Amino acid sequence: MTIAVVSKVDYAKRLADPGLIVNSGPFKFLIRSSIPTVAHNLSCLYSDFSRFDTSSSASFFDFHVSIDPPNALRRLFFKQAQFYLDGRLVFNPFPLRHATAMLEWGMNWCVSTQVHTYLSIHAAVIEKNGFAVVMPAPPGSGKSTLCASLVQEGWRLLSDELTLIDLHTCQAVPAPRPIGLKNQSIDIIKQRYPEAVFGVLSADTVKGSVCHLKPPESSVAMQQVTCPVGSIVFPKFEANAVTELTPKPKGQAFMEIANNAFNYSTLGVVGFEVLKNVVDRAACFSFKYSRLDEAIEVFANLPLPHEI
Amino acid sequence: MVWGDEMVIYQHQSGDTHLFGGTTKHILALCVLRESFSVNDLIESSPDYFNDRQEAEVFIASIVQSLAQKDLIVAETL
Repeated sequence: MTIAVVSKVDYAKRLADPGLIVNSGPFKFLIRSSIPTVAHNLSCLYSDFSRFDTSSSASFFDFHVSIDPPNALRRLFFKQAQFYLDGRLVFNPFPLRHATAMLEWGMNWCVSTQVHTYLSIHAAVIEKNGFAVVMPAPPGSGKSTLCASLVQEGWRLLSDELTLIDLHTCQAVPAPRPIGLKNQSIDIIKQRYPEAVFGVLSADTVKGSVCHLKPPESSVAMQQVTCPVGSIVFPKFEANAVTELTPKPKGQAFMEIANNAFNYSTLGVVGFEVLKNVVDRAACFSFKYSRLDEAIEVFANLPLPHEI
Repeated sequence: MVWGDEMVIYQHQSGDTHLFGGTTKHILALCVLRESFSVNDLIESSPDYFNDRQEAEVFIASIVQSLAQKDLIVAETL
């Protein structure tokens, strides 16, 4: 059964129980929620890679997550929601109107804190011509805006938040999910790409207004296809800055990525060896930009590893 | 791992990763190539320019001490 043929009411009922199955790269989530906006958001953003389980047999899931209002007594006083992983409460209760954003952040949290079978780096990762471009950057650097634009321009989305590196092949492993955009970035992408599909807006979160962008169907279709890392680009949006791509020393790039990795220390020498291989084979750049058109052009002309 | 003027080292005992450049990288590279060497050897082969001998010795000694504190090399006074 595909999501397209399920009515809105039926979708919400099924999301509450038995739950929606989402396949994101190597991970399988079972998501449950009784919150209508969460149902609406999921039906908008995950239609290409989710389904309701119609079989009666028990399935294996990497993460059982749910997001629901708190108990009846608390519900009388607060319009809140809570995030659960495997039935355990993970975060403090948050405003109900932030439920859609919290589900996405919670799912990111599940992978970044529970999975150590990959080197996981806080970075966006996209692909073109068979090579991945990894974009590690702190919040506010314009990483997601740039990633959303490039994906709309035909780049394959592997992930907007988590770059997963296979510990044996050192290749980038896709785990596509919706791209989280904040504040002005939402309108910039909406105006630039009117055909793009957006989910529900969560206003006044700790990160400001947050809205997620549906990943392209083609990226989802290729979510099992890994690829070598060709470039590592450290983007930085600066108002009125001249677009500038400059080579970055590999040692510095290594240390910055290690600092941006969720489990580099946990993996120990394995993490070091994997990251060493990735950085050694990739071209590393710092990238400053203020105009998306110019940024897109720079990425279109990024040299392939064998051209450097 | 050596990339041009940079050296990245993973220290198994502590699990720390270090990035070194300049004379520090040069000292560590010598450690890999040779079992032991003197301060004189270091000054003569250092990529840095020193105005006088005393300045050079103080500088090299501070680097050696710093590396020894990190347990990356063993410094002995003969």
